[in-house]
Amino acid sequence: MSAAFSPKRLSPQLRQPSTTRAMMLDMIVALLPALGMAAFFFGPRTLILCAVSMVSCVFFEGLYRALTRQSLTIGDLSACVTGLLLALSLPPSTPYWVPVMGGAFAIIVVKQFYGGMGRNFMNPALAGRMLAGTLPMLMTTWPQPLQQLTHAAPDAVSAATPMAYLHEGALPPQSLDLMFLGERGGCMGEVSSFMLLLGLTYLVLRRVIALRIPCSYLGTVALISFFFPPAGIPALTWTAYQLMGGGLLLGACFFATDPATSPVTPRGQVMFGAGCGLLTVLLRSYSSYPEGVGWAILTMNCMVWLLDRLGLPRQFGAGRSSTTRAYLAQVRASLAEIKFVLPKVELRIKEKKAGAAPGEVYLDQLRALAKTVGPLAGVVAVTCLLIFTVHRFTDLDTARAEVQNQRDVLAQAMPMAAVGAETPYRANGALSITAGYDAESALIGYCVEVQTQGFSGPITMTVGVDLNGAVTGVAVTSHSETDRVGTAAMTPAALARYIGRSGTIRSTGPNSVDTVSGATATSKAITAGVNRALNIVAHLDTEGAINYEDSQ
Amino acid sequence: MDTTLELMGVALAALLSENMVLVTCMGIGTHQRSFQEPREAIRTGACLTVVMVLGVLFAWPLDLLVLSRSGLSQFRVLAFSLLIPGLVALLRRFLQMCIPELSRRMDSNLSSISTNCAALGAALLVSQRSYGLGSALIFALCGGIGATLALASFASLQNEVDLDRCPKSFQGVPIQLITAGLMAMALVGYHGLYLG
Amino acid sequence: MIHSFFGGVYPATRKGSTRRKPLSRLAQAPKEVVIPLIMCSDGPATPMVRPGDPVTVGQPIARRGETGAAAHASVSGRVSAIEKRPHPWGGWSNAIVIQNDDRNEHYDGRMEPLDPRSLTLEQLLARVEAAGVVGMGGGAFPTWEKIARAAGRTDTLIVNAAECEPYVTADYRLLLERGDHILRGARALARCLGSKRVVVVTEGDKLSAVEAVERRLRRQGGGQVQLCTIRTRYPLGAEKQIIQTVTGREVPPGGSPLDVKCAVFNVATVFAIQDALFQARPLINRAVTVTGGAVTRPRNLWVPIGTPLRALLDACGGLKEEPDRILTGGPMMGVALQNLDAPVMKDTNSLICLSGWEHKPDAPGGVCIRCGKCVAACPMHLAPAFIRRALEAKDLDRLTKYHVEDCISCGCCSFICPAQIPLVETVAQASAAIKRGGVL
Repeated sequence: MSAAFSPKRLSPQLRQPSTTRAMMLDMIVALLPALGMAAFFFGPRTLILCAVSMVSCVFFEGLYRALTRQSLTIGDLSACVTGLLLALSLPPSTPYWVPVMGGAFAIIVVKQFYGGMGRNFMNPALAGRMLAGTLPMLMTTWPQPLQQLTHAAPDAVSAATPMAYLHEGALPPQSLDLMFLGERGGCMGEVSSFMLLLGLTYLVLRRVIALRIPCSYLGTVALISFFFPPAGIPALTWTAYQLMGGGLLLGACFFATDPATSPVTPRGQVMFGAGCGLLTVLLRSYSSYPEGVGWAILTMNCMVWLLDRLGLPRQFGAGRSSTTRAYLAQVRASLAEIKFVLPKVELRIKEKKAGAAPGEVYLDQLRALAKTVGPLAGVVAVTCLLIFTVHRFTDLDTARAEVQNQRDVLAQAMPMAAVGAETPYRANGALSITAGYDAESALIGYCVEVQTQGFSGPITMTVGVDLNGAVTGVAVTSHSETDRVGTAAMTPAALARYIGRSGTIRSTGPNSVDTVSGATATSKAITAGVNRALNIVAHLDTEGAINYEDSQ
Repeated sequence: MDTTLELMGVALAALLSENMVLVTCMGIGTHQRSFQEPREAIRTGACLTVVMVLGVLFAWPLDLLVLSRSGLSQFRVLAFSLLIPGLVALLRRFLQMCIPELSRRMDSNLSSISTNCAALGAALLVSQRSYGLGSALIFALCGGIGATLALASFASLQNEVDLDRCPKSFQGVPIQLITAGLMAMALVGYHGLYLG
Repeated sequence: MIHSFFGGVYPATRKGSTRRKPLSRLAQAPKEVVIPLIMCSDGPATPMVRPGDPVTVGQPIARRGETGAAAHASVSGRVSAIEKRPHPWGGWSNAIVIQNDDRNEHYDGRMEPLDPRSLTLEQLLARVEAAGVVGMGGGAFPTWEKIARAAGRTDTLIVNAAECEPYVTADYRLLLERGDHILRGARALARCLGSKRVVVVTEGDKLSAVEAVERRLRRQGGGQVQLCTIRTRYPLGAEKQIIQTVTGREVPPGGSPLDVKCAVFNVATVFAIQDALFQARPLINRAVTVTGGAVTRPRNLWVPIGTPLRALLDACGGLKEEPDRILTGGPMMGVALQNLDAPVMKDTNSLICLSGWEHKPDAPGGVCIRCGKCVAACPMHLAPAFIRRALEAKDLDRLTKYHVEDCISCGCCSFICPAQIPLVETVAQASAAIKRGGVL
């Protein structure tokens, strides 16, 4: 067909009315109900925090663009949205420097270093928030609602958030309608589910975001919570609490839907939401941090490229599974070239050179081999020798140090014992059981070595239990807790609180040992270890372990 | 015997909370091309996985039967650091002789991980923590998969995100390190992940 | 069963000002009629008359080439010149200029009207070719060629009255006022093509037309003609999308509707076919909508082909304000008009004068924020955001993976982009780059 005359085409003369700036403005408007509710519950400090955050984000963006002599992009309001989101994800009692630091990190490093709006790969507000979250003491005080926090005094009565209860597998004390309205502890923006849903409705009606990501995210979390509730809690209640607890609604509706850091293709967006939901449930159930939404979204942000590739719509008219079939065909073609070839093994004996003695060929080969392997063998030999000598000279000291260590542990776990001897008893959960004897060789009690999961890893401790079932001492032998944060629960003064306790030690109520503030997970781990040791000693089966019969 | 929960815990730990590339930084000793192109990253990751699994497969019985029994566990590091590059060399030779097409594609990747710390690290960690054989193999396999995912993510980010828009003093390696640091920060939340 | 197509956008239809205005003739016949020799997308026609010859209404004045369509005089008078005149598709090209003598004499060499009951495919082809019918929905492809290719290879005939472009109401009024004729033409066409199923597709907001056609169908006993009312979504009227909506089949990439056994004809083309068959009239008139915020009295007109567009505007009371842009063919896929002296062609269905508040000024494209709206809106399953990035990165390998050749230039992506990036031009640029084999 001859193209005699192809008419010139221009792009459509109509456009839908919104611009990027209008989209950002809509985001701010959608967040205002949540902000208002937070201000109602937590006082004017929330408004000041938001203002500080927004101003610092805008300032840093303007400063960076001016210093690098690029065009000023403050007018597209994306820095304002970042500031507002960052502030709303912080607890109301954060000091004022936290949003400033978070904002600087978010705007300068996460956003501007990659080229500004639309070019970053990680959600800036979330990255700033998570940076603040890694600072240990910041994210542990959660003021209760309806105390009016003034702008100056961050001290307030704090209590466990609903998320802390859910992390343990128990229902929080607030009822569902209070959770829905927002009368609970938590970050400023996440408390009121109702206001967040209002904001989501506004965004969807204004066609700023598509419902794919929030629906797949919340749907995945709801599905998994529904099918795996903890024992004794009705599935529907558990699901409702999970959906409204923590920052899930805030994360699913506002953080995960950030256009620059979520997939572009519709199918990719659904997979993104599902992946976030999966990771959130995993983190909420099993990680040391009580809240997993931020980490889940950040991890999926790094995988967006893969989801985009996978989610590209298939070619029009090519059939339903055409992309898969094409890919499989490509893989098959590529693999078909790889074939197994039988190796040709030849013994090549070098020919004799003229005028050489009969064995000299072999000597040459040996010489070449020695040149390559010789130095390596030499190094290995020297290293072996070194290790051997060092070990020889120090293994006595090592043994002595180990005995001394055992004595120290015994002294701390069972101060009244003079000698400890390893027993052959085995119990489920005990790494070893040592019996403690006093100076007259009478059995005082047992020192049980147990291992529990602390905040950053397993904690191994030795708990001494006397024959009445009371704790005589606790000694922590190995841990990986953060220095000065988790170790606050392992100081001698903290461990001394367990002395004399028996039965099952709880965290509240009768027979309880309070958790050290700032080291909740570590304290709980030590309490769990002590409980396990007490349980083991109470059910210790000393009868069948040792055979006293004479051998024939 | 390792229960399913224990195995899953080990798998998740190797994938997420102790990712060989982003968290423990053991697997970053490969050539620079595997950080730049996704295809090279996936190939290097696959080679790394194979080497880690093979290494653990040989190192675990070596440690259990030879070194611990005869009290020579102080030679563990030396033994493994001879074993694993030896395994890699053997593997390369085998591929060259028997599967030449695969060797043509993968040889440079395989040679680049011959002294990769992840392989040695997997063997050492498995011995130090006294894992059973099942846990050890799962740890090596998932460690390799996690390293592959991390390398592939990083390489694709380089393609998708234009890394030249930062200040001039940051261009090149610094912004790559910052990107890797941001990706590692995303994995901080899995620190201390424990199933059961 | 009505299926659906992926993507699409919902522009404001803005048909309220002309929807209820019936097709009316020009109060004053045009003084001069310009009939370009390039009438259709195939080659130009060869003139059969010379300057100075008298012509009558319906007289053939240009012969078709190897392919292409014939042209007929739409007024009676004298051929004043064959010279270069402005062409609505842009530029200047040769045209036959006829001075109207207002006597309206008809050509006496007319053919006899055919009997619908004994119509054969050969008769249909001969008549359609002689009448110079081309695709009147914007393709301007010679209809006789289309029918010849489709004969015996279709099982569904789709009459496309789904005018999905905003502002345009010409096809709607035609269906409303001449529904009987259109149905008759559709049945004849279907019988000759061998299609078992005839579907007339209109958009859901054209309730009165739908009711009228339904009444007619019931009166005539229905038969194999089916009426499909589909909710308004642009680009429902595009060929591949309407086939997917009616039959659920997708035209394979690089293929034509015949590959899925469908044939799509615009409703005005069907009307012109039945005119040629049963009224023995060549294609010399057509319906045009003159509308837009800048027009004093927007109306639907029934005009002779070749009327200068300025005459149409004058018939509507002229412009009441300075227009921001003047277009033919609809605001989404239409062409901006350079010269109002260009004539009405066989595929001109509208003249739209947009005022400032209707037409958004061309803003420079902003930064792509990867919102994904273009991917969700593309009816051909393309990913314009990725194409733009690959083009920016000058990466030809990536570009070839994105099926750029499937683009139908519907404009959905540019319409919906919040950063106002000119995506249609970007995809066209990418397509040119791939053909060239390299990105500049």
